Amino acid sequence: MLKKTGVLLSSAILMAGVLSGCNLVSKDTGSSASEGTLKDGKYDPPITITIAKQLDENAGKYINGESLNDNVLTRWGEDKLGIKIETTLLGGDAGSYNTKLRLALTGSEKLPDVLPVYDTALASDLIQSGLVKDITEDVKTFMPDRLKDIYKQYPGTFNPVIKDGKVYGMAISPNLTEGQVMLIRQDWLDKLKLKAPTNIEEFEQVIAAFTNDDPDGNGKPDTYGFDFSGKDSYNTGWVSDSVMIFSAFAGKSLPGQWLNEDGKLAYGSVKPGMKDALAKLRDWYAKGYLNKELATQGAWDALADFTQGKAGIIIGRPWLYGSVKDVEKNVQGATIKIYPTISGISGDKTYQSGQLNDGVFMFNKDFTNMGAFFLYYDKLYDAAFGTGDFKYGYAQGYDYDIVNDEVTFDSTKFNKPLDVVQGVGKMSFTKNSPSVDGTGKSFYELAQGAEPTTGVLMRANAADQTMKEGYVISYENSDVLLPNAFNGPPTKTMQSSWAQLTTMEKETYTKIIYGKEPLEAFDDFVKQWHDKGGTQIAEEVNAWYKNASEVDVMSQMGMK
Amino acid sequence: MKMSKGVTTIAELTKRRTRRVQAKPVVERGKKTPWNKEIRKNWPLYLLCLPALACVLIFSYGPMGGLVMAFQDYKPWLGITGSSWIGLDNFARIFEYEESMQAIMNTLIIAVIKIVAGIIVPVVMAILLSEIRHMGIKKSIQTLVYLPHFLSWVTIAGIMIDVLGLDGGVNHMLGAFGIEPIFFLGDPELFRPTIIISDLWKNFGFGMIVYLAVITGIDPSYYEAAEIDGATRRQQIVHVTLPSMMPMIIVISTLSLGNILDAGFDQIFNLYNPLVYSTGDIIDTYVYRSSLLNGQYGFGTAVGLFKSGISLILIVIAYRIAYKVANYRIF
Repeated sequence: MLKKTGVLLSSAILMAGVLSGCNLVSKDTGSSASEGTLKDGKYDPPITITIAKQLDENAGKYINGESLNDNVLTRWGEDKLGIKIETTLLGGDAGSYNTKLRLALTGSEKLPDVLPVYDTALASDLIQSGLVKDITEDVKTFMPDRLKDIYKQYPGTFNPVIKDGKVYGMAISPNLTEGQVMLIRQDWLDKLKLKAPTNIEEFEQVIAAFTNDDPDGNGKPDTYGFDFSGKDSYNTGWVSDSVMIFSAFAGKSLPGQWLNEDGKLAYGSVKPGMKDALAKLRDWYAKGYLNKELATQGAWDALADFTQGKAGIIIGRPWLYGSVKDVEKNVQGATIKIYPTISGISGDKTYQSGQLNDGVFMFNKDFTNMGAFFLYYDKLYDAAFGTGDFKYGYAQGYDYDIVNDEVTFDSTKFNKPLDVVQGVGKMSFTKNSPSVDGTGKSFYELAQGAEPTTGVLMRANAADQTMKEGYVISYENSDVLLPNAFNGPPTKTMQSSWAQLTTMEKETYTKIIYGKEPLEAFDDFVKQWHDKGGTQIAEEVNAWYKNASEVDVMSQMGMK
Repeated sequence: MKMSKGVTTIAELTKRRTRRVQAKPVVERGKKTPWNKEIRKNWPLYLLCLPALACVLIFSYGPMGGLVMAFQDYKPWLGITGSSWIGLDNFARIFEYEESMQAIMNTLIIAVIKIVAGIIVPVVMAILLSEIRHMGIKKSIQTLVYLPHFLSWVTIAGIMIDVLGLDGGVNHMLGAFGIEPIFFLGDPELFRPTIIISDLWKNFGFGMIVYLAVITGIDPSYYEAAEIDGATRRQQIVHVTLPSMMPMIIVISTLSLGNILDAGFDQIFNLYNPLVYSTGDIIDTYVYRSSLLNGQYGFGTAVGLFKSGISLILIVIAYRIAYKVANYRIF
């Protein structure tokens, strides 16, 4: 008898285990439509806005026992605004976040109220599904003027979310982000009595000397000139970029992105200038001036050679200095100095990819509290404008602190020291803290002698001197930043053929640089590219562009 | 030659023995107990089976309904019932492009070599290891070669990129012999061997342990008989050990044929780069880049179904051959 009871029990337990996985009753995630009324800038009773979130670097690093849904920012929102932010859909990396959002489209779980979307194809899917809201009127009614002034500057950022003259979303804190600069081992330049290069000939001389003239003085040929990554792209846009060389020969046409040439969009990678750039890189690679493993190293991995003192030049955004400055500690006498990128063969500056926004906000069609969203969103901008509650930062002791009446941004000097500052600006629906600093305005103002009186200027002033110089260079060269002219959803032919074309592109480029294929392979690639769908795609992209530029959504949203 | 006659008898003996063991339940089944009576009698056993059965139904058979996506232009918000039917378009797309044909070829080449090597190496290693008499050495080798099996490819790929890099340990060693640095992961010629050898290194320990267990299970009296007949060690291996391992080798080979279109996504995805697309891009990585990243689930499902179909056919054929040639039944 006892035996049978045991069997019954154990199989019941097993069964329960099996079935608990198929909980078909979707749990109610708390109705967001609860009507709170706005009194003196606060909702009473408090309302809840549910959001989707891609895991950020705060994960696992919250301090004071805080968590995703209960932290210094969410509590601030509840106390001050009567708005509770609750993450109901959480994805790990970009891929799994997109997949989760797509699965939510099947109706398997409730779509959150606010959806940050970082993928144009997904944005287009969301619009087609009819599950997201047309926000044209809401923007007009609820968006505060200081935000309208920001969005006005970037009308192109609405392109991915416009369909049939309606607006289904908006860019997440649009801002022309800082451009890339050239980081050079100044001690090597000094030792070899060279000047920082300003054009392609000088650049070649410098990387040749860095490779052949033993700049580290150890008597071994273990250094090289130019460190970049070619694994994922020849236009990375953030660090370990090689785009400068391509632009030197092809001007505004850049690999992997579309350029508006007198009203017609054209793809950069197939432009004739690319062949000259590839010829140069091929020559340099053969001579050992370049990162030997550029094809296998991703952008971040490629930093290692520079940090270890093997490479002399690397290109990246000014903050890259913070990530490679270890070389100044690792190698005796090493110093890094930041210079503007070189100019091209035509004498014009070299161009690079500019970023206006990372993703768009979209909203559940049943979400009714757009006013509350904009109230919250606008408050988050306080840190960028240096106003309101967030004069210096978001939370004292988290991303800034006041020690002996002095504001500090160095987390190791806080009253309760931290290893790194907490990303409070990322704790609600923005992936990065909103910024209105452009490509480095605050740094430029400081360099012009402005007193660091506001929070933004103080924060800028707290950066490393070298990095500050980098931002000034970035600000002064804002005109070299070209956002991709095509930011719409993948066109029909793109969906079926784009992967083949990019595979072919990456393979051809890399093989030419490595000398595995003759330079003439480029001509063949261009022909093949057009034959295998490229011509069709270019037509579709231009049709999209014509459509996007014809509708005037800006005035509908009250932004003209 | 003298030996062979006596030994064949031993092999036949084994066969007869196994057949006799297998024969028993067949006789019992012949009695034909009515199923309801049978269940009433053994209900606790059936009850214990139920959770496992439910698992299989829910997690293996349930999702198969989703296979219809392969014939649809699937849109998540329209669901399976609402998405439009496009016939075999998704399957046609698999064969439409040179790149995908190249990927299929790469997959076949890499997978076949992996499967063949994955059978031979563990068998040889198991036999060699079983000949070691010192238990300590035997156990530690066993553990050491089994260990990599538990590491994920992401980890190993990170280590490999470092070790096989132009500045890595392997090239330093080669450099000591005056050999120019070799770009293992960037050379299309060397990429496949690198992939296959590293996969073998990671996984042969598992197969080896299975075969070792088989060898341990061989009746010592065969060896004694062989020794009395004057067989050398090598002859014992060829005529006793190997024939006794044959059933297990056949099972594992047959089952691994199902992986003929599986060249190892995790491994290749973490190690490949544009330089080696021509020899290293496999179906899975190709599909990942061309469809899953864009949420084209219909195409992804079609490829999955295509792969399953081929695997099923191959397994059935291999099973038939195993039955005909070796008179061996798995099921």
